[in-house]
Amino acid sequence: MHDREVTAIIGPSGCGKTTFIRTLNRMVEMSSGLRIEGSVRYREQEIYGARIDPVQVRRRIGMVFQRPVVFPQSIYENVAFGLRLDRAPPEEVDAAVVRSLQRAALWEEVRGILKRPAFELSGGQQQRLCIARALAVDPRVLLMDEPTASLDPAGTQRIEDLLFELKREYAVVIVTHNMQQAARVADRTAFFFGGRLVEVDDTKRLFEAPRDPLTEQYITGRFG
Amino acid sequence: MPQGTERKALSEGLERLNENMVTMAQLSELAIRTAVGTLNIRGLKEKSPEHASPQDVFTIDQELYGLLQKIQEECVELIALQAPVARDLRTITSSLEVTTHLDRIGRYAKDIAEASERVRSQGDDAIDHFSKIGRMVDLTIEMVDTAVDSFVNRDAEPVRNIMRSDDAVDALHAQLFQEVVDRMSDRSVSPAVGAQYILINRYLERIADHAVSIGEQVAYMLTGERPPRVKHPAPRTT
Repeated sequence: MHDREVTAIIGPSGCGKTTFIRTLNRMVEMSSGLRIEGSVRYREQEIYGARIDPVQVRRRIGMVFQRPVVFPQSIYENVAFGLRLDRAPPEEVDAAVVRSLQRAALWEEVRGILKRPAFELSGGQQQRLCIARALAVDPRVLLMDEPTASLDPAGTQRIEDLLFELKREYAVVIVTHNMQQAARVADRTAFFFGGRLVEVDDTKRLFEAPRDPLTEQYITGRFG
Repeated sequence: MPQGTERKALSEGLERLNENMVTMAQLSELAIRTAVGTLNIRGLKEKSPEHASPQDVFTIDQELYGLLQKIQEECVELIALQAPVARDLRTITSSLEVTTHLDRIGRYAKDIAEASERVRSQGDDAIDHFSKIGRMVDLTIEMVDTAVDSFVNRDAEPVRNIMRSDDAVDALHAQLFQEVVDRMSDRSVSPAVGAQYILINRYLERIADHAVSIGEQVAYMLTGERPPRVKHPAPRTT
């Protein structure tokens, strides 16, 4: 994964896309009955190292899920959630909430209703709220697991536009079932099959002339 | 291996596209053969349809233009509705490119037929005026044949031969040009007729260039790599 780029992960259901990105911030450890092998390095540092705090890893490498996970609290508190855990001073929380909502392209829509319950927002707004919450703790990498799967075309478009802005500051990894979405938003695309990385390349190259016949079959719709 | 599926609408669309491309390719070849048949040059008549007339070439040119429009519509529709990628996408964009070259070949065939009419209007039957033109025609037709076959058969290998033949065509073009100029100078050919042969020479050379472009496009379509253009375009003599 490269800084200031969007990397898309594509592949058929069950190929390990979600599992893969959950290994990137140690979220995978929250599942039971698994064995962890191998190595994940973030800026040369082994994130599964014995002295590494998984909570700190997840702070640097944030995650947004398929369905927006909105807490039964106000819009403001949803964004402030991580900062509150850090016991940040109120003025710092205020500034971070505004900044994060702006970065998530939601500020203009919610600036007058910050105290309203978050579940009153539309699905697309809730998803951007989750992005704002992930951004509030100042991550460097943003993992997104099918972030538009539950959104309508307009909501999807807002998120895709947002990705163009986010990649100016963050490394973004997006899992998507929609190959056209990968083609539209990603600088690089990785194709997974059967739990294995088959091919990763510049998105243009991968969709124009993939090197692996399996990739060719998948993206042209010949299987899966 | 993964279980096979197919994209019926896309597959059928690509099949239809290929059929139209094959028809267009055959028509543009026929256009050249018919056009050179009107030149009345010994040895070329046999390669052309019997009783080839300029009017036949004009008709084929019209048909080619109709097919060009149809293929362009099909390609845009496939791109818009089927969101093709990889080889499918390359096939469609290459078809768009190749179809333009085939149409241009048809236009040059029409230009040759028109020049041929003008030669005849001078009362000149043109037989054996120029020694190089037969070879020039042969090579050009061969290049178009090879380019079209490589597209139809999805085989990039023969494309190498096209590049080689193009060098020969360029050399013949220069020689024939000089030959026409010499004949006009010694007054064995009138300037009115010589000028038409200079044009015909140029049209044939351009047709060969389009064959090269089709070959390059076929190589890209099949491999995803754009072959480097190995030679610099020769300086134009006309």
